Amino acid sequence: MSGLFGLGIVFCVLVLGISIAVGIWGRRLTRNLADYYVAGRSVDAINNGLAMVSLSLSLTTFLGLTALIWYGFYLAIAIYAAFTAAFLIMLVVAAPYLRRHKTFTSMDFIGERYYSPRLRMLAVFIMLVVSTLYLVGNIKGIGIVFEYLLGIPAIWGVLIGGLVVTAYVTLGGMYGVTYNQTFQSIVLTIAFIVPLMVILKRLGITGWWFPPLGYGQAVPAMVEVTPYYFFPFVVHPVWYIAVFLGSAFGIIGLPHFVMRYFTVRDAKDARWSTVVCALLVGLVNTSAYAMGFAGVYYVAQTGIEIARADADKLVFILTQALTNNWLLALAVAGALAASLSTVAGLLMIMGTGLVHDLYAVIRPGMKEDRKLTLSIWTMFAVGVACTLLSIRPPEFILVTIMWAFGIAGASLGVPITMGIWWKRATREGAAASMIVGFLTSFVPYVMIEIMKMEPTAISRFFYGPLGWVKVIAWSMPLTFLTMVVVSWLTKPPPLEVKKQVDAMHGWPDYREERYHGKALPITVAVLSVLIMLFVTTLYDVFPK
Amino acid sequence: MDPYRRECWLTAICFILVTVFGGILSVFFVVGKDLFFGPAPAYAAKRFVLGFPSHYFWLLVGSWLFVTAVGAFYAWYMDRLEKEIERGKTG
Repeated sequence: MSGLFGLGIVFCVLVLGISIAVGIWGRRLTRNLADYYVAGRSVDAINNGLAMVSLSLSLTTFLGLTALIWYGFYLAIAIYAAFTAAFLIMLVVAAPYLRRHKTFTSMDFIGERYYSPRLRMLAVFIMLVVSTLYLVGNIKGIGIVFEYLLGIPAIWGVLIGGLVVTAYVTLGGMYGVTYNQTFQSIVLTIAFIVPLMVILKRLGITGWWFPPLGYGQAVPAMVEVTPYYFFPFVVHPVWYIAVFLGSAFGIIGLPHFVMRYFTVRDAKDARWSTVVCALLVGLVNTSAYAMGFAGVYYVAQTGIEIARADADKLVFILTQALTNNWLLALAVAGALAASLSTVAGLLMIMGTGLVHDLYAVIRPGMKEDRKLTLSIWTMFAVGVACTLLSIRPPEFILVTIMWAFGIAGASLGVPITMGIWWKRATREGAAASMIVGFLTSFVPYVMIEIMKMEPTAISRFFYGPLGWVKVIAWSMPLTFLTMVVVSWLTKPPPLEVKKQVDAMHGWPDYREERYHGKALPITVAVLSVLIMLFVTTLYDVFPK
Repeated sequence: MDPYRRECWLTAICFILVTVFGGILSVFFVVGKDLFFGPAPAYAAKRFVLGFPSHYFWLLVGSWLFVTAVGAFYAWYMDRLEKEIERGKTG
């Protein structure tokens, strides 16, 4: 867009103003540390479900997904299908059990379950790495919104957006974050689906009133101009397995997602909030496929060239071309809401992790009011630091976030899952798995994204579009295998720790034989070996 | 079956259903390609549902509505199981 977009600025100021007002209101509800960190564990299922929706649907959906659909078609859809399903994996293996554990964060959980303050500190380090990766991509999105749509230089977008979100997180703590996320969730869902309905209608699609499944009539014309649009064969089957493992265990490993479960009233709310979240996330994701489809269809029909560097802006290019300024302003506000909600969740976990899981472990016995004051100032410092860090963001938002999922899944998702379901999982097993998981996923990230090495130079199997994703199909099983083998070879956890496992599952009494069988570790070990074999020696059996 | 075994079996079954229908459905489209696609190199889709190639349609529905239904059933059943455990039926 050329020049300032007045209507968009008005909508954005409204979103920013309401966010700060909710933050101030959240401050009035905050009386102690539990209020600041986990909203007093008072959030109901619907509210938490909606908050999780906006936390999940960051700018990666608004901008990154459509960019990836434009660039990679079916692969992007497979990624988001796995991402939607990952919430249900979280539901069945982690969410209600974590809520019953009564800790504040994933790092706290690891420290308690694996009876080790050192592991808690290691978890804080990993959390900082993955949260930073996740965060800078999202703050970059705010810059895109400001620069492309409002005509304001991106750096101002990064600074204004970053500081506003820092202000309301610092002021309102988890109350402010939760109710802001609920508000932002409603804004972004409407802002995504309503313009999409108009776009589909303008393209002559009769099923415009239900975007997720309404665009089937345009498929023949699309296949004619882009024959490979629905083509699943551009990657090896291992790629899909890697995407699933990264999504399913990544979501369990990403501390800002897990932290939402510590805010609900009980395990029942943890379960139903995940169902609400999955239903709405699925609705927006499948609508995003429709948006991507419409974008590619429009470009193919009109022959309009879009530079690859503009891929992240496809939603706005389409909305501008096919709708009016009101809907474009609404889409801008939705994108802004999406980025703010995710950034807020990340700042919350980073600030809490630094004070509650790092400083309080180094300096035990700190008074609660001192801890609360320190948390507020740490949250502010983290927000400012991350905003400044985001001035030089990565090229593609979604790629960076996929790395964050892979690293978090291997290094935190595995010990959390095994800690819930296997009493025999030991401190040493967790330590070894966290180190193996982190090194086998973070080192390839550094080699590929920072040192700019070709993925095929690391392994011949990492060829093709997003070929590096197959790293996850190696690192995740290796991490699981390490956890099982090292735990078996080391001394069992103390009784007090094993009691935590029964308590997490809601048992009022303790029985040694529960969650102690050999079936789970043997199944996990065998599956891990099979997947690793699939990635290597059996690789050439299947089509490439 | 005691509540402990029911919890473990239900979790395992729901985990497998979500993994298959939500997570790795695309693997079956690639490995069992003859069911869904014509011959190479065109690999034209053989079947369509609501205008979509069947593999794409099942991915949309499986990864969203089907797995959400599985999750809702799991949540409902676990609510009941939780009450049983609270009433003192230990496994």
